[in-house]
Amino acid sequence: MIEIAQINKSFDGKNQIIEDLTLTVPDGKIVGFLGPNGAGKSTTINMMTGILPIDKGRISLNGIDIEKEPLKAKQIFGFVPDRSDIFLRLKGLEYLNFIADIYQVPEEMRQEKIKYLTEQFAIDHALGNYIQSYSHGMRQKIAVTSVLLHDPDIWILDEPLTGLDPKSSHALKQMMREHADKGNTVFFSSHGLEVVEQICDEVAIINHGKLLFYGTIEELQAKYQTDQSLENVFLELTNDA
Amino acid sequence: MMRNTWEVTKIMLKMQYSSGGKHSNTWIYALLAVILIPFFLIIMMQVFGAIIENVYHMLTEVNQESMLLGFVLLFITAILLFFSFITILSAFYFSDDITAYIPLPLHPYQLLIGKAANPLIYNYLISAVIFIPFLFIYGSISSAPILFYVYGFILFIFFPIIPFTIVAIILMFLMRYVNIAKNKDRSKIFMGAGSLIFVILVNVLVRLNLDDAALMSAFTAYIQEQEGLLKMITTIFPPAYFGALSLHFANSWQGLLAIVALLAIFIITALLFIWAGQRFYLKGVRGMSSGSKGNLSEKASHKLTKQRSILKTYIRKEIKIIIRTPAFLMQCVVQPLFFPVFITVILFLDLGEGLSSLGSVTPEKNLFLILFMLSIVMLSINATAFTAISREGPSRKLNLFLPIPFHHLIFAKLLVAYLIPLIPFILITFIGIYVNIPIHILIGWIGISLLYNCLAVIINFLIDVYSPKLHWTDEQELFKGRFTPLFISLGQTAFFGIITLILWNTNMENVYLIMLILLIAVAGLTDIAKTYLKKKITLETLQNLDN
Repeated sequence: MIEIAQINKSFDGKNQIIEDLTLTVPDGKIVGFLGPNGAGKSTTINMMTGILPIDKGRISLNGIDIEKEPLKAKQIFGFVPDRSDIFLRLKGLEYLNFIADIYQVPEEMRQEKIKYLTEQFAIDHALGNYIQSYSHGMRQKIAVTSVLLHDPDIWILDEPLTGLDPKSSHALKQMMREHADKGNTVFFSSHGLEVVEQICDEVAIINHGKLLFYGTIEELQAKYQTDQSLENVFLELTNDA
Repeated sequence: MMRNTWEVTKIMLKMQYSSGGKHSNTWIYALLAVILIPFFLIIMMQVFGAIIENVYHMLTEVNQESMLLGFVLLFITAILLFFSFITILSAFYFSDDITAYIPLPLHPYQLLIGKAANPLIYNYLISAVIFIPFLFIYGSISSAPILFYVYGFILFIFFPIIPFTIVAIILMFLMRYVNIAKNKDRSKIFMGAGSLIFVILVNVLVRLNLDDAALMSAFTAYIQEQEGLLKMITTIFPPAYFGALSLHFANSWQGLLAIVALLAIFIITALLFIWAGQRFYLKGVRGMSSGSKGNLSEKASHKLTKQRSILKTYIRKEIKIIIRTPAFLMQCVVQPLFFPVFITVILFLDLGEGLSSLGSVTPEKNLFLILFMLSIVMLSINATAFTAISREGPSRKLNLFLPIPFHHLIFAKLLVAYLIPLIPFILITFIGIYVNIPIHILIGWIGISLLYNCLAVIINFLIDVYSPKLHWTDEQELFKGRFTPLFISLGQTAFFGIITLILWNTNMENVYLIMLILLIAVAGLTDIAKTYLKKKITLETLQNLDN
């Protein structure tokens, strides 16, 4: 479970990027995090993952405060950042092993998982190559694989499907579903509303650092008394962006 | 056409020198420049002014003072050739930003001119430090006419480009053939460093094989001829001959002819450079290293997936990235190696015999102080430490969301930055043994240098934490336009230089006492730096680097 309680963030001390944001993401659900560019999605995710300090408020992951016990909290979640151009000078397998070492995944288990996951994402043939030579989609796949390696309870994914081919996208969506069905949490940001509509149990929409809506898509349509597509409701909601 | 070239050059320079962050440290640079530049200039003018004056008067006796001009131009040429190897390799071949420019409708030579701008700025800076003070010292000693300074200015503008274009043409030609190798990064590094070592070796071999008797008879013949010595020393590099001649005969038509000849050489080399660039440059840069075979055997796979501790795995990752990134390898590992190589070359040259007995003839106190200052100069600037955080670039977020204990992270970075400068230091130590430095001095020097290395690593690391360059698009940008490490290094040199000067001039002759004083000074400062680092640098500091 992810609990975000009245968090605030400002980079210059004047303009609030995130203002009193409160959100609880329950176990067993896939939650889509939506908002226009500059709404505060990445800032929120960065605070959830310990990349940015929180000015005010509290974020806890399965009850562990990210600010107070960062190491413990970081063991619980796996994160796919929005940028995939990381550790370009490492070979694919070296990167996966680096992550496995950081999370102290036992040798036998990591070997099994690397084999299974890289076959699933069809990158097993490129593990000896430098990440630098990978396409954007392949880099995304290696980043997703690295998260799945240590089997975290909570998945936090920033635009995870961008650049994936249909087969890998399908495989990842299926994995997300299976992970949530086991009682875990999947929280992901996306620009693709169709994907959100397809796989999310609930959506959170923010704009100007404030939460505009949190609930199921049906609740969203009911609230705005419309049977319009999510895209239209989203546009209407964030119209003043 | 010219407009496009200018635009590309401007953009390339902007990419190299923009801070990328929100902090502008211009005022600090200005302040440091105002304090440090006159300090070093005064020292240089004082030390070299007297030497130049003596040599000048000695040479005027035999009517060969033009040799001094030729010698300085040759000296500048040697240094520029040496540095051009490094800067051209870095800018032309180890910088990935070229891929962003290749799709633009530009000729290869236009990209090349843009790429050349930054290394040329370095050439001008180096030649300004040597040539401008020399020009004024020589001018005032010889009561030179105004045309001397005019020609001096023309030389300053055009002369540094000539060695640069020569090195560029050679490297472009070589790289065009290296670029077919599978691991392009590695082969380029080997080729670059190899060609430089080859040049040094040839130089050493030629010098070693010189027949002293033949040299003496040539010398006596040349000395009787007008401008004979100048001719003798500049036969290997005619631009230095014409440059020197133009200054020497500034007031006559000979000077004018010489400067015209020099400009003609400049135009020829520049045209050759453009021609070679158009023909070879892009063939040498396109493509990238893909690593080994994509498919790994079961055995290789198992080897690569061994479990290690967090600290060990992080240290390995740091080292791998430095070794595999040409820009990092060049700046952090290879470049510091040139200093000991340079000293080795000097040892094998004319000064060899004098220097090899240096250890046994110099008073112990003075010897120790010289060695101590050598360590300060070598270790005070540490590229591995002042890029410790910035090197991560887009990967830096991982440090924050991965469960890596903060002290492991910092320790791994400091340890790697501590170990890499030890490679050139070990080389220098061997040279120390070769020149017969007494064992107690050697041990004292190694001990204090190892301790000072801690201090230098912490200082350089703090520089990176307080003024990081995180938003780079190309690894080269980490090293360009970052003057703080240089100024801080000069500051350290000045600080310890003053202590050394005081100790040098006191009556204290006991070398152990000198060692103890310096040890206390370095240990005290290291402790302060360590305490500061522990207290002030926290996880939050890293979290806030972007803001």
